[in-house]
Amino acid sequence: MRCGEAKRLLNRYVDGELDLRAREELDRHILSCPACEAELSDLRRMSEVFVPAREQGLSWSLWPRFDAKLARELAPRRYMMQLEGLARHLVPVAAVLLAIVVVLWALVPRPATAPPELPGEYLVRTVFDSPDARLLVDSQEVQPDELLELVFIANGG
Amino acid sequence: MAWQDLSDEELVRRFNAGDTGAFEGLFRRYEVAMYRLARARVASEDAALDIVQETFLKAYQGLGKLRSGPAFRAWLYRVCLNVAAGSARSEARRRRAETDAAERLEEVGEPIQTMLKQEGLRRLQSALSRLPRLLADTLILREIEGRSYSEISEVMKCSEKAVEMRLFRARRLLRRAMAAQEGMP
Repeated sequence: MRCGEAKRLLNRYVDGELDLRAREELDRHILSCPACEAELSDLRRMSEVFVPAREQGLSWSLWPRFDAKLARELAPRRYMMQLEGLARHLVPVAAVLLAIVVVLWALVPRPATAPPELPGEYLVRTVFDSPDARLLVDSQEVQPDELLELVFIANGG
Repeated sequence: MAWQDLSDEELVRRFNAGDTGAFEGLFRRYEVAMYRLARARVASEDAALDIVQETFLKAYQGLGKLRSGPAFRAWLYRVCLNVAAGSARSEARRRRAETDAAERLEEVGEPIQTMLKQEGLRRLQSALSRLPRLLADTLILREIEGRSYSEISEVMKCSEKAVEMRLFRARRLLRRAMAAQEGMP
């Protein structure tokens, strides 16, 4: 084995990722190569700087604290999700009901209604449309405004 | 049956079937691992505890989308690494905590072993923070969690060859970063 190949395999070697055959071959090379042996020592020393991080632990479980956080943060969310779920079901139902009401309103026949007429207007129209009134106006014996006045007086105005 | 006797796959299956109590088993199984990961990333213990909480909160909310139980551990590592590295808030906390840690070292009465351990951890955190994130995360999974190349490739969503290359580069850069620290006054 040459140094180039050995150095390429050193990371896998310290990480225990080499198969037995490659490992034995590298072992033989390292025994006869001070440069590769130094490189291997460097890698092992590098691994030792992680010891304080590996030894980190917890004196107690964080579960009770997390459980409380879960209840605090997810309870309103769950409530909102329930509301959203309810709304998801109710909105289509409401839309269908509204559509039915609109269709029924459009289909049901309704009597035509004219705007209400004021009593005076009705009287005037009746008077003007009557043959006697036309006769009076046409003969120019009475002017239309005089006729209206007469009607007004006749109605107790 | 106690959670210790159940696999991740079974606990995930039970949780997704509506047994929210199954999550406690997953939490207790992985809380220390997540804490170690967080501690490698942030100097403050409180910040590390926050990362653990946030990681499991995201896991709780996202577990329904995870159909495969065996992938849980890789997925959880990924969530934790993202939470730890992702927020500017944790960056600010880290800087503040580095100062706190340095001040704590000066306190009288601190056992010498604890002080040395804390100093070692602080130096490691500082050196790791100078590495590109992908390299630092790969190195943390290998050196602190002892994960195999295969597992790391699953967490990092890359090939084993890429894991090997990242570890090679990460160790070289870490060595330089540590050496630069030693050169500091």
